Amino acid sequence: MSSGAERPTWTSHLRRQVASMPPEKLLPDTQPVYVASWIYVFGALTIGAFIVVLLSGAVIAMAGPSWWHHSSFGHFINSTHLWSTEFFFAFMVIHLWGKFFMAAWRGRRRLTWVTGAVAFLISIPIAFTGYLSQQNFDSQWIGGQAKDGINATGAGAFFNVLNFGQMLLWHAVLLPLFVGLLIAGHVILVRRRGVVPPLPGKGGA
Amino acid sequence: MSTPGYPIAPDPNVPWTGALRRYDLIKEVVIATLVVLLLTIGCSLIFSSPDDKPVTIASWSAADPGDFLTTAVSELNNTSGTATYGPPYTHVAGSGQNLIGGISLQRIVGVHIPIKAPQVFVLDPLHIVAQTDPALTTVLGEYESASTSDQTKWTDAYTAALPKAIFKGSSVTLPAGHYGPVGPMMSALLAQARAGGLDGALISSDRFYQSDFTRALLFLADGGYLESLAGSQHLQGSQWGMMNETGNYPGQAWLWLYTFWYQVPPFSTSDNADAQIWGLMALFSAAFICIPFIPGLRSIPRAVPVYRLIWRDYYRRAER
Amino acid sequence: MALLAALINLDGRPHYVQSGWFQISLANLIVVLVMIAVFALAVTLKFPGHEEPVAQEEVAGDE
Repeated sequence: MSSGAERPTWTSHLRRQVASMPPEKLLPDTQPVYVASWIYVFGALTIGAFIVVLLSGAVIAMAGPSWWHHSSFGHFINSTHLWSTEFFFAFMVIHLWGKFFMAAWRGRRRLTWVTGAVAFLISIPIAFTGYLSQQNFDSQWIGGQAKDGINATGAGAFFNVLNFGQMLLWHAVLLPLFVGLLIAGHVILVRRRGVVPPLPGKGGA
Repeated sequence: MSTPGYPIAPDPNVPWTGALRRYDLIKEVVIATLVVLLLTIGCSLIFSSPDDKPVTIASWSAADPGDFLTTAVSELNNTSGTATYGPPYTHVAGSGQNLIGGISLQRIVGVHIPIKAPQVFVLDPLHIVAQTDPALTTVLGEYESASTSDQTKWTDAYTAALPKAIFKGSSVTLPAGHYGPVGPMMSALLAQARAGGLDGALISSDRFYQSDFTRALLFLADGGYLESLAGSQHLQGSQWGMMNETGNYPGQAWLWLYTFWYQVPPFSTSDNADAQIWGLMALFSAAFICIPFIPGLRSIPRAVPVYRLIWRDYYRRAER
Repeated sequence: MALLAALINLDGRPHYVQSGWFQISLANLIVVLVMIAVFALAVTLKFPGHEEPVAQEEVAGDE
């Protein structure tokens, strides 16, 4: 141990990072008294919705992308995938409003805001590629329209919204993985820094 | 003095040392997940989800053969949306949207998904049919060996006559005119499309498996039929369409700002609207991510007393 | 599976609210209004069980 402290290694650095997040800090059973408002549950609701989105998407993935068009149970699972997505965005945006009005980036918590904001922005192409993967009229129309926007940025040459296989893999693998990692990092940052305390009250600094 | 454990101006930079309350995080997440699951199942049972059937080339050519043939001829004579698109599909001098001034990322990146409209959408599919149709082979040979000016003369005459065409089943009758081989070619293409053969031809490749619908979708998008269906569902760009879903389902409400720009000048009348709006949204997105770093923007919460509401119990104690 | 058929059919003719260049589908409008209402309720409704702060004993894992 002591030799690690004398001459820092990548390994010792990682060990210190992990040690700075012991289970009591990662999973506390107390919170500061100010963590007492319904607005605080919207982060958990967003994670809950993300879990339901992943579960419903996993069921569709197991049966394949065409299944839900000819199975009524498949259509029901597709409905749960759509509605959990609507809840995911709604809860995430309410969480965002709450954190904005609390100025929750104060006190070395700016990266927490940044990871959350990027997770929101990356969630948009997840939903978008989902629409493209539906294999119905919506997908055809959205693809035909969106190609102009994405082509105008030059990205259309590499991110072809009319390529079903490419869009399905972005939707089901790459983007969820990225957002999942961002959410994990976001939560760890929240636990690491603690929930931001109230803004100064009357008579305060 | 404030109440012990309730500092009036807590320092956000140091770990909290004030009063605590019990809080079961795992219970909260589990209950939240169950609540979302119930809400989701409830909405799914009550409202279901949309699944409007896709348009096929076969259904398009049956429902609106005039629009289908107009589009097909425009592919053949290189005047269609795809043929004149520019990057990433076709080499067309000066095409592609400008981000600002004369700078176009679309042109800089260039053509990566090359599409030769006459071959891809008309000639190649017809050659498949021609293998069992000697008359069509002759007609195609006549067209392909003709001069460009003859080809243009024929396609122009055919396009001009199309509004007077009479459709019966999968056959088309035009008033007498100098269409050359284009007349029988288009009749054959319509028959092929009606039978579903063009759907297959546009997605097939030299490999067996396929997952890329670029050519078939570009062809559909070049026509007016898909657009008219979308218009009746309020899905067009000028109708705030990016936010909307078919029927009465909620759509992507989170695209409100992106969609908004398309409705107002100068973007609503700009040829470069896509490039400009994507550029603008990139700036807005960067600003959104960077709110904690932007003076003024990051101080808004202090001016809006929503935080007084959220922490009202805390302040009541702290300010006692 | 007939049980799973939607109770309220949203596939009919779409409904929109329009005022000049502004236009929004009724469904999206309802979603946005519900979100605003939920936010308003979340910041105003009383959160249960906040009156009994626990002592500062086991603040494990402090930096």
